[in-house]
Formats: sequence, structure tokens, C-alpha cells
Amino acid sequence: MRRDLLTSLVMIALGVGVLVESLRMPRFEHLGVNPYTVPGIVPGFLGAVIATLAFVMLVRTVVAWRRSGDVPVVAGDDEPGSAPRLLITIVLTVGYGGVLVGNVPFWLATFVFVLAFLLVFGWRADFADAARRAALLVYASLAVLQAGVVAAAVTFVFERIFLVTLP
Amino acid sequence: MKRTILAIAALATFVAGFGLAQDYPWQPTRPITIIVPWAAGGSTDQMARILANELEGELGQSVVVVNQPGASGSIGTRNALEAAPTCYTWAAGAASDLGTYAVLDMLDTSLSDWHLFLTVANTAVVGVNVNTPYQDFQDLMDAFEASPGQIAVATAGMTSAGHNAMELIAGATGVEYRHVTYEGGNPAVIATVGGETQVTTQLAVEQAEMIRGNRIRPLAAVSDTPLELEGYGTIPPITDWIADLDIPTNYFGIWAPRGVPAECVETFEMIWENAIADSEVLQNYARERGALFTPYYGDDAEQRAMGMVRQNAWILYDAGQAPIDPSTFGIERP
Amino acid sequence: MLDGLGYFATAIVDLFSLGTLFNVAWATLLGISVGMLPGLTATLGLALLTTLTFKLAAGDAVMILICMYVGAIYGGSRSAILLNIPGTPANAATALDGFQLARAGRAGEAMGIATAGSFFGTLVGMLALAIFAPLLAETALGFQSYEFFWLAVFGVVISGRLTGMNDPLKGWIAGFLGLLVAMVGQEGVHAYARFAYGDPNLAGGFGLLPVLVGVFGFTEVLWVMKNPTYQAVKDAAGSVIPKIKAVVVHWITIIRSGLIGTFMGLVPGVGEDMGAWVSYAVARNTSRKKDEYGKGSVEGLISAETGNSAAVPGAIIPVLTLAIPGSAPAAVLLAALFIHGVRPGPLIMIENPAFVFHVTAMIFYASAAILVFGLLLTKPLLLVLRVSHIRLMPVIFVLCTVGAFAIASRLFDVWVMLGFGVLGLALRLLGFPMAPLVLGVVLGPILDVNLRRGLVLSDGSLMPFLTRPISVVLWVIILVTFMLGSEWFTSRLRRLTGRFMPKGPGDDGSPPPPGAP
Repeated sequence: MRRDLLTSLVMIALGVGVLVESLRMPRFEHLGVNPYTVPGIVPGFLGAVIATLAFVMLVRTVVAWRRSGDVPVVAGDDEPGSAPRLLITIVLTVGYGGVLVGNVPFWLATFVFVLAFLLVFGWRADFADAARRAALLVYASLAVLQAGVVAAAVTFVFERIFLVTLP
Repeated sequence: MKRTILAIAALATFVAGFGLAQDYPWQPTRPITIIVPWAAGGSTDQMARILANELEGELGQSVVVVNQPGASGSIGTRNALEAAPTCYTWAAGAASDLGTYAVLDMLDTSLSDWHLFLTVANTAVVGVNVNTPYQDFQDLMDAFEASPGQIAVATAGMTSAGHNAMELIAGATGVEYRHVTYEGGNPAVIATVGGETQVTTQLAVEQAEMIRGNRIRPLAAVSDTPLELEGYGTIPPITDWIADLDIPTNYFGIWAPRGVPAECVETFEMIWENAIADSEVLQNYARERGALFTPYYGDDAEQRAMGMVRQNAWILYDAGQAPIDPSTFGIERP
Repeated sequence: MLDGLGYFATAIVDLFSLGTLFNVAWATLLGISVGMLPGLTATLGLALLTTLTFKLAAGDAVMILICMYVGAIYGGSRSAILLNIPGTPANAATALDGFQLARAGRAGEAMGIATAGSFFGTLVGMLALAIFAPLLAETALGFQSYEFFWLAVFGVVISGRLTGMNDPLKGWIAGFLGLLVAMVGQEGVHAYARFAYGDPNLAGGFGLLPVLVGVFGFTEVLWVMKNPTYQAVKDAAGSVIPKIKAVVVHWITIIRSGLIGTFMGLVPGVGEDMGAWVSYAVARNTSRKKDEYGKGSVEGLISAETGNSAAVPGAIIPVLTLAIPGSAPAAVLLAALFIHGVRPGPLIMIENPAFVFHVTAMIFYASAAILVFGLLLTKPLLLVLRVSHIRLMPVIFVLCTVGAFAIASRLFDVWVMLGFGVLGLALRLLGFPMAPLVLGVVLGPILDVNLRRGLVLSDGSLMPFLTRPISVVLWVIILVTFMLGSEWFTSRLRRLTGRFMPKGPGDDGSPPPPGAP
């Protein structure tokens, strides 16, 4: 519920901010344009609606809190999950999409990304064990294979069949 | 899945394999891209796809049309301008737009930064909903006089050919109208068919089907010569009513930025000279859609296109739409 | 009127040949593949094939394009069910129940049902095309700026209500956020770049597809990786061929959703997404098992898939008879017809009536093909579920990246995809549904230009918005939806009436109190 409280406050700020920005948009009065066509009308309207809905959410949250005292669980089907896994995923994906793609050839970027992803998440504690080196080798070579196949297949399908110029 | 790929591969071979490349000084080794800076399906897009196919036949290489819409076409045009000058990236569009991005402060470029290869020219038509009482252009002008600012005119927006045409009429006659803008030429025409607006001044190419289907009554072609529309007949020129109106032509085509290899430019000039000038497909397209077939290139093309750029730039500047004085870019007042 | 059916039967026979079957087969398969890959949409597929089929005869080319269109809208249901990633925006409603069914180990059954839904939806739309084509097209012209404004609001309100089951308020906020996202960039009247602050990329706005791929595709990848135990779908063979009985019992839903979808397809610029959402909403409100919706309702899945598929022939009707496209892919189809020298428009029923019935027959072949392929492909597709997350997710992310980039070849779109993926994860953790957000991005430009245009046309008066007949219907539904979604209102209503529950969108055994578990 604390999350709802915070969210509603952020949304109210967003809505009001959008409204203020919309009022600041040019109205082209000096051009004599029709006043009903100025750019600020629609975002201003949307900002107001969002602020209003978020305000309702705020009131609702506060009322529910004061009425019950207990803390209801946020709706959703999420298990707590693992923050480190999430962070690693974000680092890998953003590193690929935001940094590698566009700076190195697409097939190379894709190969590196898929391989890194497979190695990082496929790592098992027992790989460190010398006796399990064979399993590690098998896993690593499969990972290299998959990365190669994905990089080649995606590049081929998009460049040759869908005729998209890849970065 | 495998079958799909086989089928596409078969098709791709079929498409790429027709027509052998002639002896042109420039032989492309990979597919050429034409950026259409508007959405798929519009008039620029249709023209570019037909043209792409004609070029494929000559060059023996695929020519891919990519739609990069946004910001009145300036985003896609910028991408073509900033692409490596290898002749593999072209932009399509209206030459008058290309020439006015600079005064609109959207993209710092002028016609002379490009090699222009023109295909067709489009004419605006003053069309009204068939249920309106206006039988000829004079009726409409009288109605504008009688109720200034009340009659709704549909166009594709501030920089569109339709708005240009209406501004030209308003400038010459002093009439006032209610400007209603739409997302494109076709939606503007449809709104007139549906009765939301009474008048549209969009291009003939966008009104052709509705005129033929007797949903829109064409009152005048915004040109100094009558417009022949296949399946309808002749639309009288606006100069029958407003005698000394100076009407520039709105050319469409493709262009590559200057700095591309000379052999490539030479190749395209040869293609325009030999193939495009005789292109049946493009000529048929023009005739059906009420457009003029204009296979010009080089300095000739630039000079022809400049007329519309001048008019467009100054209309926009005088209306306060364009922040930069056109004379800064050597665009003189027409 | 029934002459149409006769012409239609003749056209089916006319078209039958080995060449036709070959073209139908590969084009539909290609369409299904395009639809399945997030980021490749029906619009892109059609634009691509328009160029590739240029040299073919007009009839063959149009046949291929129609198969691509029908196949792509159907194909999007596959990834929606298996991965919770709608392949095209039109399949967002499909994911609601389809993915839940798949999680319950009924993926095969769900795909079979979706196939049946698409097949019947296409059939209903096709029959409407054959029987009423010119008549129906005229009704689309009754929608003017005022109605389009309400239709856009209607879309996000309905979708917000349906996806934010426990909490419609968050659904609505998500929907209006989506509309707001669409405001970024140059607006359509003065070309003023809103919220761009001088950045040329922002001035171009956020593309729909990068946003879609971000909040559905990338968010799902993050979600799956965050929860190591979150098995996307349980693997279970199950029956692939839907039990005839399971489909037949929903015949009312199928016919109703088919008609709604066809109508939504007819209305210019609205298209398949709204076809799915509106028929899903109506199905839920008239259902006896409302509480199953969103938790794996077969009926919900059928209504969504029937609705979006029926919109395809629906959108083709005005393309042929008025040269007005009912949706974005239909606009490309229209251009292709012009390029091939076919002249759709008001004259087509006079000049070239056989062509209209040929198109109807082509839709028939396409729908037969999705039925065959749909059922044949289900088994191999189920293999996707056996692949471990760690192997599958990087591939999906690569496809998301390419998909975001492929539309306009802009790197900025990849960054948009990344940004909205992370934003989507945050919103999802906070309990906001994603589908209304995406629908908002679709409908934002419609709302924007039509509100302002309506005000220009009415000279600032709000009366036409409130009094025109179609407008009245739309705003009344919106108001009722809002009121019945609010606990404050329903509790008072219940106290007032005392005995019976309100009839309408809130009639699902009352929405649980806000924020309750």
C-alpha cells in the first residue's frame, strides 16, 4: 500500500507537470491561428485526467489505510523474485541494445550477447569443481553453438528475407 | 517454417533475377534503399514503389522502399542526407518539401544539396461534397464572400499541397475560410465525402476515385491548363476564374545527397534518359491518378522545382509558420 | 442481396488452381511467422510483400497480400499464448486469457481454440463482406471527428477496466499514460514538437512498435529472468484439435464477436485492436462466468481472437467500396491495389463487381489456410515451451531489438524499446496493466487530432460532442464504465437498491475492494 501511496503522488506530480507544460506550449496568437487547434489542449486535458485519477487513488489509499490499519498486499501474480538476477539481466540487455548494437557489427554484438547471457545464467556452482570440467566444456560449447546459430540466423533472415539493413 | 523460407527464397530469387543489368558505369553490389519519409500507402509511397521496381529492372539489383515517417518527412530525409554518400541510400518525396525544410528550421538543406530525379507532378483540385449547392467555382467563391470564415476547407495540414492551393486562392481573392487539417490527403478527402467539411483542395491523385465515383464534384484544377482525369473527363483550370494566378508545379521524385560517386549519378541520368522517360507503368499511373508525368533530372529538375519552393517558403514565412527568412537561403520572393 | 453468395461461390471455384493453393500456402505461412515475431506486424509484412509481388499479375499479388494480412493477425496469437508477448498490438487481449490457459498446462488447447476463433471470425467478416459490402461501408462515414474522439476515450476506458480486473483505476491511469506517451513529438496540426525540448529524435515521437515490443517483449524477458521459478508455461501435450463441442457451445460469442469485430474493422483508422477489445468487453459483460475472465477463460480467448480476425474483412470492405482504409495494414493494401491498377472506390461495384467477390474468395482461402496450418503447427510450436528460459530469453530479446529497429532503421527506436521495457517492469511491479498503455499509444493520435478538429468544426462548442447520436451512445457507456468501476459508487448504489446488484460492466460479483488481495 505504501507503494500505491508513492505511485499516486508521482502520478499527480506527472499530471500536474504535464498540465503546466501544456499551458506553456505556444498558442501562435500572432499568427491568428484558430485557438482550438493550439498544441497544448490535448496534453493539458490528459494531464488533468491523469492527475484526477491519481488523486482518487491517493484518497482511496489513505482511506483504506486509516480504516483498516492492516496492510493489504499489492495485487499481482509476482513472486518476490531475485533482484540480482533482474539487475544482471538489465545490465546485459541494455549493454547489448544500448551500447553494442550500433557500435559493432550486428552479428558480432548478437553473438557476444547471447553467449554472455548463456554463460552468466547457466553457470552452476559445480562447474568450479575440477571433476566437472567436462560438463562445463559441454555447456560452454553448446552456448557458443547457440550464440553462433542465433547471430547467423537472425542476421540472415532479416537482411536477406525481410531486407532490413541491420545496424 | 522451412517451407516458408524456401518459398520466400524462391520468390526472392525470382524477383531479384529478372532483367539483366545493362552496361551502366555504376553496378550496385548490394540492395539500394529508398527512404520514403511518409507512412506506407501514401502518394509518395505509391510512386516510390513503382519507381523502385523500374529501377530494379535496370540495375539488376533489389531496390528496397523503407518508410520512415515523422516530423513532416524531415526525419527520413535527414537520414538519407546523413547516410554514407555511397549512392545506396535515396530519399523520396515532394521537391517543395525538400526545399522548405530549411526555412521551417527542420533540416538545414536546400535543393542544390541533392541530385534530383523527378517522376510525376501533382495538381491540386478544388473539390466539394456533391450534396453542396456549389456547381462551379464561382458559386463557391460567392459563398466564401457571403459567409467569411464559415466554410470548412479540408487539407492535409499546414505545409500540405492542399493548404498551399487554398492560401494561393485566398491570397488572390481575399476570401476567408475555416481551415480544418487532417492526417493526410486521403483522410481530408474522405472527410469531404462524409460531409464533415464542404470543400477540399487536396491533390487530384487523392481525389480521383471519389471524383470518378461521383462523391466529390471537382470545381477547378489549381493549374493554368485543364486537367484530364481518366474516367471522368476534363476539370477546368482555375485560371478561368482567377486570370493572372501564378501557379508553380509540385514535383515528386527521388534524390541522393551531393557527394555520391559521379558514376552513380551518370548511371541514374542514363536510366532517366533511356528507361524512365519511356516508362509505361509510370505513365499509366500518372494518367489514372490525375498527375503529370515529369521525368526530369539534373539542373533542369532543380530549376523547375524551385518555383514551388519559392512560393511554398514565402507562404509559410508570411503566415509565420516558418521562423527563418527564406532570403537567408537565397530563396527569392516569387 | 443473396446474389452476393452466389457470386462468392462462383469466385471460389474460379480461383481454385494449384498455383492459387501454392500462393495461399506460402503467403499465409509467411504471414503467421511475421505475426508471431514481436515487432514485425501485419503493416510491415504487407509493405514488404507489396514490393516483392510487384511483377505478379494483379490477382495473384492481391491474393498473396490478403493471405499475409489474415495470417499475420492470426499469428500474433501464438506468441501471446505461449510467451505472453502479443505478436501484434491486435493480440493484446488474446494474451489475457490465452497465457493463463497456457500456464495451466492447456497451451495446445488454447492455440487450437484461438485458431478456431480466428477461422470463424474471418468467416463472419467475410460473409458480411459478401452480403452487405456497399451498405456497411456507408455506415463508416457516419463517424466524424466527434465520434472518433469518444471512440479513443472509449478504447482506453474499456481496456483499462478489463485488464485492471482487481483495480480498474490503475488500468485507466495506464490507458491515459499511453495516450500521453503518444503526445510526445510533433503534433499533426502545427507540427509543434511537444515535450521534445529540442531533440530531433523526440520530435519524431515514440513509435508504436518500439513501445509495444518494449512493454510486452522486453518487460516479459525481465519478468521471467527476475523470477527463476516463474515457469512461463507448463509443458503439456493435451489435445491440439479443439473439441468440437468446446467451440460449438460458444457459438453466440463467436457470431457476436464476429459482428463486433467486422464493425470495428469498418470504422476508419480503428481496426483490429479495437475489434478484439470491444468484443472481449461485450463477451465478458454478457457472460455467466465473468470471474473466469483474465484467469484463463476459453470464452474470453475466443471472443478476442474472433474479434480481431473479423476486423480484417471488416477493414477490407471500405477499402474496396470507398477506397477508405479501416486500419493501418488496410491502408497499405489499398496502396497496393492502386499500384496494381485495381481502382477500388464507390465505382467498384459497377465497374468491377467480380473483383469484390474474388477478394471475398481470397479471404476464404486464407482462413482455410490458417485453420490447416494453425492445427498442424501447434505441436511443433509447443516445443518452444520445452526450451529452458535461459536459452529462450536471449533469443527473444535479440528479436525484440531487431523488431524495434526494423520498422524505421532508427537506433533511437531500440533505446525507446529499452526505456519502455524498464518502465513497463516498474509499472507491472506496481500493479498497472500494460495493455491499456499500448492501446493508448495507438489511440493517442486519433484523440489528439479529432478533439481539436471537432472544436474547430463546432467553433468551440461542446454540444456536438454531447448530442450527436453515436456520440451519446459512446459517452454514456464510458460514464457507466467509470461509475461501475468505482467502489465508492457501487457501494452506494448497492445500499440504495438494497436487493439487487447493478446490471452492467461491474456485475461480476462486485469488484473486490480496492487494493484487497
